[in-house]
Amino acid sequence: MRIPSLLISALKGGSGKTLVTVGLVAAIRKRGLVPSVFKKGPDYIDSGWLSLSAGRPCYNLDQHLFSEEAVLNSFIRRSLNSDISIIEGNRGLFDGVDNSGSSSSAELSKLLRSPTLMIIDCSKMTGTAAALVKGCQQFDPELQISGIILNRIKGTRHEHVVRQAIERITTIPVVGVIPGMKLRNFPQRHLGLLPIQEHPSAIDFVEEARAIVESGLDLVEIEKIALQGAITPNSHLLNLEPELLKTGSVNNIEIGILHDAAFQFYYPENLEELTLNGANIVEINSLESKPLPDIDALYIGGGFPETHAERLAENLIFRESIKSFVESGGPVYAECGGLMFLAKSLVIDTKVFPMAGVFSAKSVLNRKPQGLGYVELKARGSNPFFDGGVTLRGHEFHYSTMVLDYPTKESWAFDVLRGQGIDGAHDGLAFKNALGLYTHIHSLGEPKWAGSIVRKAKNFRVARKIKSDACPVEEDIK
Amino acid sequence: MQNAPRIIIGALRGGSGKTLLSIGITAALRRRGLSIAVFKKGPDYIDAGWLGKAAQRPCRNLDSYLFDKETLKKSFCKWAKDQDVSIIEGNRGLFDGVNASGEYSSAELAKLLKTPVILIVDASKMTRTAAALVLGCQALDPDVLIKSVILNRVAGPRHEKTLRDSIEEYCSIPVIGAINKLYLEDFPQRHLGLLPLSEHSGANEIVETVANLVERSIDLDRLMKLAKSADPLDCPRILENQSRAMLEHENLRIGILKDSAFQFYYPENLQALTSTGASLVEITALEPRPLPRVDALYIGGGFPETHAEVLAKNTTFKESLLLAIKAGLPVYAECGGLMYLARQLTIDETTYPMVGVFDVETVLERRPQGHGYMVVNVVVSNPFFPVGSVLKGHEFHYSFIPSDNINTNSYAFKVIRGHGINGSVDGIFRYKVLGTYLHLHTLGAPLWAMGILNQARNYHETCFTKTDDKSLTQNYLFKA
Repeated sequence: MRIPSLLISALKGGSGKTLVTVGLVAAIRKRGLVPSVFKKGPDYIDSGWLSLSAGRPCYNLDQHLFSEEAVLNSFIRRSLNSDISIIEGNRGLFDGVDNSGSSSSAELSKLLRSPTLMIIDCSKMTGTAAALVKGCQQFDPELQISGIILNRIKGTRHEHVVRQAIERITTIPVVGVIPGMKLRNFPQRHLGLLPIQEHPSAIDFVEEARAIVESGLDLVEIEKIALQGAITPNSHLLNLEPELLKTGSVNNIEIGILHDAAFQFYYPENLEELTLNGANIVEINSLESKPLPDIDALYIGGGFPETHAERLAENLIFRESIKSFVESGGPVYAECGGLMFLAKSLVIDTKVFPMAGVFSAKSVLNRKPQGLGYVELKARGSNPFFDGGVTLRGHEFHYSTMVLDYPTKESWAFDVLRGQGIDGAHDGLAFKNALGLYTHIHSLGEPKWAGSIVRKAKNFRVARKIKSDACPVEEDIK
Repeated sequence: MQNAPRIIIGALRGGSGKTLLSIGITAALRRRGLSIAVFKKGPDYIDAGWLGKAAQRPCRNLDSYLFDKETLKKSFCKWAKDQDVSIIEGNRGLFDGVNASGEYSSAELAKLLKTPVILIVDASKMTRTAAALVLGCQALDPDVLIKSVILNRVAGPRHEKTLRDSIEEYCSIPVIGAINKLYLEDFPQRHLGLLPLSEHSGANEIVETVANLVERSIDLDRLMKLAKSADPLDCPRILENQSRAMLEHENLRIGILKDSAFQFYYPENLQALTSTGASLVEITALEPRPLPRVDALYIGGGFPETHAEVLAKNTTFKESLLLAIKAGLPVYAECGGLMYLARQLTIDETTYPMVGVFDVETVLERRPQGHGYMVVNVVVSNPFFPVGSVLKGHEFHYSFIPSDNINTNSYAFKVIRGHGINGSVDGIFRYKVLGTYLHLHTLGAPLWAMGILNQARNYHETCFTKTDDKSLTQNYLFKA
């Protein structure tokens, strides 16, 4: 058995990959096939759209963050119960972390033996498109570019000239043509798309993308191309059985996650890995005015606290319950937006919004990204979750910076070996058992990550129990 | 011809920053005291205007679709001769031509003129893939001498290094410059290109700013070395004074509307009108003065829409023009000129009365109504072109004429390629006036100037010869 698959790529970011992939997945579903979806790279937002379109989780594949084996393993395992696997590439086809293009979309396509469809943004260009296609073929003859999708085509003459020029000098078929158009529901913001949670009518965009793909792409031909996908599950030594609970005895550990319109960036694998380590996930809404429920640890992912700053600031009950949770020794692991929420305040233009106040630092929102790309961290001794000297790989993408209030009660949790982090040299503020960092960690890249959170949660639970056993009678003392 | 140092600036697509960098390179080289000939590939007026500003001398258009090869080469040789360097700005993507084989592309021009190409690569949202794209251009046609790359919209030093290293490694050509993306944000842009010069108050300042940017970001010594590496060019023999012998139109005065509403005139067109002795009279349609005495009027394109109110209110000028036209004044009007001679111009909900020679209105739209090369057959007898001739030019207009006022008029042209007035006709005419969306370049349409000059002479002879000392107004009254 081989896994039918397609990797959707482009010459550069902004060429229409997400539109095409989201639409293609929805169109394939409509035709009665079950697609499994993957996003190359660490991006949360595109994954959100792909999973909405597919009606099932989208999994990230990242050769820089994960081992090759982990990438293959994840791809095969998540593909097994589907008819076709669709991978959305990222950036330009050959863009990698270095000049040899390692961990590029092209390399992923080769690793997964997945035929590549290449989108070409044809705006303000005609015959030169053929040179670009030829260049991509020559650049890496091992890469199987199996079809071209022309985007932003302006009329039949434009289409005709580009199509003919490509067919004249290459043998790659043009399998789709999308006109240049205004998308009614296109959720663009910053460098990519709006997260689905913030889009007023997310499903409308999926439907619009589907309609565009249905009218512009040759789906029969594309499904044929997908059948060239050449990876077989048994061609690799893989552990395809569901993994056993790693810490079977530690049940009833409750880990809360903030999951609402402000916080939403959680890789499904991260939550699964916490579960596999024995934790139950409790979803909490930070925008409801209720105190934190009874939990053993809190995990706050990234998101857009800035677009909900007023409501977060108004939610005093919730903010204070977080602060006292930390004061009582509760473990909190907060990434990016979560870090911003744990700070004293969030500053947007001239407005100051009070936040949870776990840290004395404040975060300031800027108009341009302050950190964007892969990160490498080394834990310092003062790190509540990781032993000193442990290194971690992840990524960052943030428009905010942290302004520290010296002398500060929190300490640095990581040295930055690559990337920006909080100040270019450090990432991670630590206070008691709370850690806030800009870096996002993926559990497939850092298998120790989930274990350290669960261990911390377990310790807190035990400590609480000892404490409540030792002095159970606060009321009796009276 | 002796070695003519020269480069052509190409890109992968329109909007990559060709014009901006061509302006900057030209102005920066001028600061070094070099004499520079500037050329724009294609029929564009606006880019040519900026290049002319940067070089402080007129920019010439080179268009291999409109001109035959010999004419094009001749023009290039004539202006490139004895200059320290010639800079040709390409258009669109390097291999974009009128068809799939890239006929009339910038690449073809580079080969015709044996000129090294500097490729501008818009590197935004891309790193190493840029090398694949450059490689593709090298591979598509090895006869095109792509000699170096300039990176545009680079995000920072790390981005630049990755791009530089990959291109130099995989394509074996040097990257001679890299421009950061933040610098370019406030550069004026309207329609598909740049704002025309005279509408921009700070034009000189912009040229100097871009020259500074280029001095900081591009290795101009390497660029000049590259330009000097061009092979000698074999030039057709130019007969210098073929036209001076015949100054048959010495007594004629040809008016052109030249102000911030009307400004699209190829220098060669004006030379063609004056090369047999006629003099040129520059006239503004924006000031309340009557039309001066001229024997013919040529109205080029421009942006009547941005000056619609002033044009509409200037009844003094409009009425004097209409009066002269009714008395037989020959007028040749292109694009914006056509709009001005119509009954009215409608922008959104507002209607502006225009001169009213033609019984049509023009309506401004948000998207181009015609854009690209045009070919027309002259099918109806008219003042300017013999029936049966074929004219090649280009059009680029955001206005159109509603179909319900097309039928009541006379049209000289049948549209073979392009849109014109409605996809099938163009060249509306009445009295001795012809209005058209078609822009002609004299190097591609040698008949054009003679048509205007012949009409001017007729008008001069019937109108002015025997009443030389009478005032203009009296003349018009007499004729009317």
